[in-house]
Amino acid sequence: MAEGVNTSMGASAALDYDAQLMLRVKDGDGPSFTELLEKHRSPVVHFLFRMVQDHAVSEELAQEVFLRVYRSRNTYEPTAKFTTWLFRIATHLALNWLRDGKNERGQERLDDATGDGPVREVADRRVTVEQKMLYEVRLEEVRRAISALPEKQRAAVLMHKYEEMEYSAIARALDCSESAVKSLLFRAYETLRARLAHMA
Amino acid sequence: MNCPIRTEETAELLLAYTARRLDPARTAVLEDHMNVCPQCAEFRAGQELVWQALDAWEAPSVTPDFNRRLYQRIEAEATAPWYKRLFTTRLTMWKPAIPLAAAGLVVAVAFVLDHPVPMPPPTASPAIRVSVAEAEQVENALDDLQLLRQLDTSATSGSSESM
Repeated sequence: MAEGVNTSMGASAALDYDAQLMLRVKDGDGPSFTELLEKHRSPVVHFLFRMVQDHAVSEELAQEVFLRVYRSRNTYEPTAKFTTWLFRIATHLALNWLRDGKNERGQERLDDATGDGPVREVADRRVTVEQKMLYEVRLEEVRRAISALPEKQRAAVLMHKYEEMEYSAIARALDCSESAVKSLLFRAYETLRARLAHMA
Repeated sequence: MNCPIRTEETAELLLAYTARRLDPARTAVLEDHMNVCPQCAEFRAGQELVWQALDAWEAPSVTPDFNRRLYQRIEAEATAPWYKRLFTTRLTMWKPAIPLAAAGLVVAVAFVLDHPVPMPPPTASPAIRVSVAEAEQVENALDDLQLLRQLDTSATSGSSESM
């Protein structure tokens, strides 16, 4: 069943523009690479942070993502959406890092109450100690719930929720079929609903 | 409307709805259905809770020197010796094949050890061949010498008899 996503001319123009920028990088235009970096740096770092749950590692992996983009400039062909290609690289690096067993450090950091996330303040109200503690507890629940998902389900959820990528793009990033992505998301959200139900 | 929650294939409709990515026409139909279907209503409530929880999870800001560090790495790669650049890029490409290549090498060595190749007979070196020829010549010369001695002996004994 096709997803009823409203695509806009703006989104299509953005697709073409990113690919055009990358083709300019291929022609040796340095400022175009900087523009791509400025535009996609935060989404890539945030995606990797939620995957590996370590700020330093997420930036290190993000550096490697853009390094690989730069290295590939001479052979770049716009066969897919630029962001699809970008997140395909990011996903592969994250999955490799997790499978290399370094996730033990990530698990240790989950036990750290302060974590790597920013402190969120409720707008127009002073944050009480209880509210802050409640926020931290809920945040920890979310982190643990995401961390407990199998790696591919985790990547699919993060791309679907935070990057608002379509099933076809997620499928290319994860190197699987669209139906496999739908299955991944179905199972992942089912798990999250069960795990976070008590937060209602 | 058939209840979409019954199968994975149609449950994505509910997923798209809760993610606010469903077109208005199908949104209206689905909302009418959820008003009478407890299962779908429960799905909606649970999924919206998940969205809220995920929305609250903010990622830390990118460090200010991210770009500088990246450009330093790019510059370092550009000025590295050619063999280092080759190692960096080719190793990245071939990393998955290295264990396979190592396994293939082990199999090949095991096969060679199990099936030794018969060694060809040693061939004489030119120096030895010359020595053999020389030895044959010496042997022939000795045979000739012995024959001459026999002839000489015969001649000597024959002359003495004739006298």
